[in-house]
Amino acid sequence: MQIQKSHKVSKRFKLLSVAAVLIIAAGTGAFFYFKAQSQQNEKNDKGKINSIDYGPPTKEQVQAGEAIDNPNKPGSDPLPDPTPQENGKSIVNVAITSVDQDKTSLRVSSLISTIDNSGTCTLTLTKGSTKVVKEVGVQALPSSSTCKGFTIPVSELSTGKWQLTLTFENASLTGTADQSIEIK
Amino acid sequence: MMGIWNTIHARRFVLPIGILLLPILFLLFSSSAHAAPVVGFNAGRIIDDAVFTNKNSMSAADIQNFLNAKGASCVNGEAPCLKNFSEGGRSAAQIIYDTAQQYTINPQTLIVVLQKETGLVTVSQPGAWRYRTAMGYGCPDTAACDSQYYGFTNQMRWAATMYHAIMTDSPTWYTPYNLGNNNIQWNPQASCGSSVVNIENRATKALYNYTPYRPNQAALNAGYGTGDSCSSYGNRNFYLYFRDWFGATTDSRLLYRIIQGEGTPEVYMQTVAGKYYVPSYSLLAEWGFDSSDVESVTQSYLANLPTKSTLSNSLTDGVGNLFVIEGGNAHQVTSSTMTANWNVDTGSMVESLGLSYILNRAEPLGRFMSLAGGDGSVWLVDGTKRHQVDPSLLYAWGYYPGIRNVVSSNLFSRYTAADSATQYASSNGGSSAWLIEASTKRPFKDTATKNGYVGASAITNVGQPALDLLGNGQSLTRFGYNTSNGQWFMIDRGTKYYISKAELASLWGKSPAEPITPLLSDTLSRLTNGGNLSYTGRSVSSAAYWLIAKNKHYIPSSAVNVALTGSSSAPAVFSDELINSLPQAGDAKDALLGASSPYNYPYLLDKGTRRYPSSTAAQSSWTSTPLSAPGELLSLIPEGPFVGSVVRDSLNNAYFINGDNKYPINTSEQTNWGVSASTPTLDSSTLDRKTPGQTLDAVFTVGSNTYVMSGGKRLSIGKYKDTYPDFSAPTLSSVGDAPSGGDVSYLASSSGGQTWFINKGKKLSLASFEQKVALGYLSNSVPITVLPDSVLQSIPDSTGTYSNLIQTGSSGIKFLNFGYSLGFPDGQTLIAHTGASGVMSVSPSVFNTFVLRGNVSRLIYDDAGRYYWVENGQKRYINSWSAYQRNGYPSISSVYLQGITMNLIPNGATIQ
Repeated sequence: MQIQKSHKVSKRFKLLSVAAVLIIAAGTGAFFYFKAQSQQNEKNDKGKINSIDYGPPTKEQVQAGEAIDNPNKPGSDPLPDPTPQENGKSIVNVAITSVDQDKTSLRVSSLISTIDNSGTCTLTLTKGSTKVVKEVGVQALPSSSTCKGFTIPVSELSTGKWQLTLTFENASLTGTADQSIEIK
Repeated sequence: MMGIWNTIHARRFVLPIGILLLPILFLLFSSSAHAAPVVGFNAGRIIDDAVFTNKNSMSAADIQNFLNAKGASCVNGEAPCLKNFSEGGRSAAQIIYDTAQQYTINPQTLIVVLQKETGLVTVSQPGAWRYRTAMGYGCPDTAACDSQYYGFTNQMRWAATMYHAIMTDSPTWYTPYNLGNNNIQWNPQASCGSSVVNIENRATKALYNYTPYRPNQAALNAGYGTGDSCSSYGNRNFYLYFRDWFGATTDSRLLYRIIQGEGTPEVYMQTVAGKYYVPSYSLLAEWGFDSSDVESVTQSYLANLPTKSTLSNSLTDGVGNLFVIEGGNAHQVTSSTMTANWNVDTGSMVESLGLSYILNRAEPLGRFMSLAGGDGSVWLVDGTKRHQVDPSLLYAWGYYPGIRNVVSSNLFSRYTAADSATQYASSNGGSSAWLIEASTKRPFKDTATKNGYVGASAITNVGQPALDLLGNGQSLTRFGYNTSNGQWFMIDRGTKYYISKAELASLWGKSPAEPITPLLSDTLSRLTNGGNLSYTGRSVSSAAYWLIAKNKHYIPSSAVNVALTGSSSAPAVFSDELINSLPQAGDAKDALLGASSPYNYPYLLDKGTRRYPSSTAAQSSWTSTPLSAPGELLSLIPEGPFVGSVVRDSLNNAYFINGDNKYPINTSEQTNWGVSASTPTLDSSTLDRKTPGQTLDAVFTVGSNTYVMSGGKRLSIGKYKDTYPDFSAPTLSSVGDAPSGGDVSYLASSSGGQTWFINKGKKLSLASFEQKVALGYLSNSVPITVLPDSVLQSIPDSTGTYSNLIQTGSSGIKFLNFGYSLGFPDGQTLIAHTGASGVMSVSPSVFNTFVLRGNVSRLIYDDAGRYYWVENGQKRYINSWSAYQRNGYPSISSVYLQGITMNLIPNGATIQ
């Protein structure tokens, strides 16, 4: 009867392994099918201008939308709060974003980490004992502000290295940035 | 199956199989769109200008459909879903669309910003705060945030204003970043540091002005998900959403710029197709560029670009659309016919998808233009330009206010000024021509019809495309009606003739089956007014007058013209073509016979009226065969009173009409002829057509018959002709229509009552009633005819006396007795009866009137039975028979005589 038993076992074993292989095959096939499908979707028409997708949004797209959930700090990249100072104005970040010189002028652009249109920007250029000071107002932007563009006639500056300091100040805020530049 | 699990061998395989399966199953059932790192994000060129500003990408309806799809599972929360939201009477989709149009921003840009800033496109059960700062546009501290910055419409407007200011390089809008190299932070935290980014175009600059941070690699690796503590998401998500929802953000096909090789003066427009030589800055200005847009390139770069044609004013987007460029505007050319109509230079087209996006889309080219900044006058375009001055003619060519293209002088001057277009146009020198009406071209039935409308006008030779652009209208015939008031007209020689009755159209050749074509009153107003159409006409090259009655009938004299029309005026002049098209039939006459009921009678024409001769006799006395004419003609000629043979003129002269002659009736005889106030009067023009004859009294002859007009009747001297003299009466040809009064008797009286016995050409006055009766009056139905005095006067008086004894010629003698006669049996009787007056010789007709009925005797008796003996023409009363016999008077048979006869025998001595 041992021979019979092992026969029975063998048969069932074969059945099981065949089923297992089939499941694996199906699963693998499905996996690659869906992967190819999503890759295909990515390629499909995305190379074409103005090809509108009227389908439902993906889960990722919905999640990204729901990730914006702070009514007090709306927008995709909210500003940090200004740093309070004791007995003084709070500090906000001021950055010099570009310094461009052409034949006639030096232009200095800036980014202020507040949304404000009140205040004064002061640009001080120092070379040795020479100081050139310019003041402009502030332009509010959707999620930041900028000094209303410094345009300094090159004629006022001699060639060489200058130290550039940009300060923003209004009733409650202040900030500063500096950089050294070369006038050609 | 329990058996399997119970097998040690089976158990040994479960674990490995499970291990094998798990990862696969895990991979299979995890999110099918697993976080894919961002590819294609270029920090310096996130989106092309042309794509960023393509305001024509979606209609308001498209936007609504999009919001419905992306918000399909949204349920209203504290605030409605974006797909259901409205403000100020407009839906969110409409606000997005309107803002895009106003600020020249792609609505897809605005949708993506909405989503990346507040997730409004996909979020379910939105809180009210999401609409307050919908576009994430912050309010500066000092501003009135609620009224000016917050709220969906305000947010949309601020974002678009900012983008527009940067796209147009507004000098009053200051930006932290410029084209070229900029230090851009990774994140709002400055401590995360920055990198240098070469911003290549204004749209990318605009994005950075909005969210001024560059996404770091961790952000890019995370797809839509979270990166690290220095990641920022605004610009990454803008790129991702735009790419996934609306397609590519950049396309090399969008390239366009103005370039110049280093050190050489030639300027070129560069597109993806190659370089186009720019001949002048003024032409370049038409494309919206000026010298400040010129970028310098190396000579080798320039040389490697394919050389295309010289820049003109036409553009193709490379996907089948053609535009004409003027004044910074692109006007689409919507068909090949329109291309030909505007002489668009398709050989020198610039090919650029980008330019087709960026140029302002003005209205497509139509058929009319005005010069921008000019006097506003409208020109028809047909390969040339034609200044159309007459407003109604402009509308005929299809213009209505607002549909013209207002163009720069550059485009305007490309077209030579040609003549103003009339309402007649042709493209082949006039051999086929059209009437232009209500933006259609209407063909003419044939050349003659065309000539009829055009007359002396000009046919404008226009370009074929201009004709192809007109609709096709209904064909024209000579006969048209004014659609405003239904009036009918016949058109000939550029003139319109008013048709007061439909019958006129039929007389002029319009068949019943031929439709009468509609004409606008504007079209008709450009035809000369020819007055009322009548049924006579002349042609240009002939002096002949014609009666027009489906055929044309030559009008042989002024008299017939007056008879037909009532006027001696010449008929209107029509074209030879029209007159020649009518077949010629017999000459017109002054009498017409209608060919169809109810006009199928002969009519005399009397100064424009038709008058029916009311008896056959009257008809025959009037004339010659009338002209057979269509009933339509007769219906147009008013009918006057009937006429007879006797008519009056306006001066109350009377005439007897006899064929071509008119015989004046002596005024004193008018009553005899029956002339009265009701005798028809004819116009002198009608009577003038008759040849005057001699004046008539009361007697005339026709053939061998003699007639007397008496008391309005015509008496015939027939039966007793031998009693009358021969009147030298005029001989006429017809007897006229007076009622017959029968034969004239030999007993005639005058109007005064005197009676005469007409006998052997003379008249004997009759003294007594007895004489009349003896001669047959009342006794033998011999009438006493009343004759005109003039007739009686012309009969000589008889010298004879009345006698009861009559004889004709040498016939036997008759004794008249109350309507008949008695013979004489013997000579003695005759002698006895013959008295002083002897025997009266009478005409045979008189003699034959009295039929013999026996003989008379010398012995006669009356009604009372008294007897008489006749001797010596007297009657002797026989007082007693014995005396009679005693005196030897014969015993003979006696004859009864009527009292009348007795009275006519004089009394002799009584026989006592």
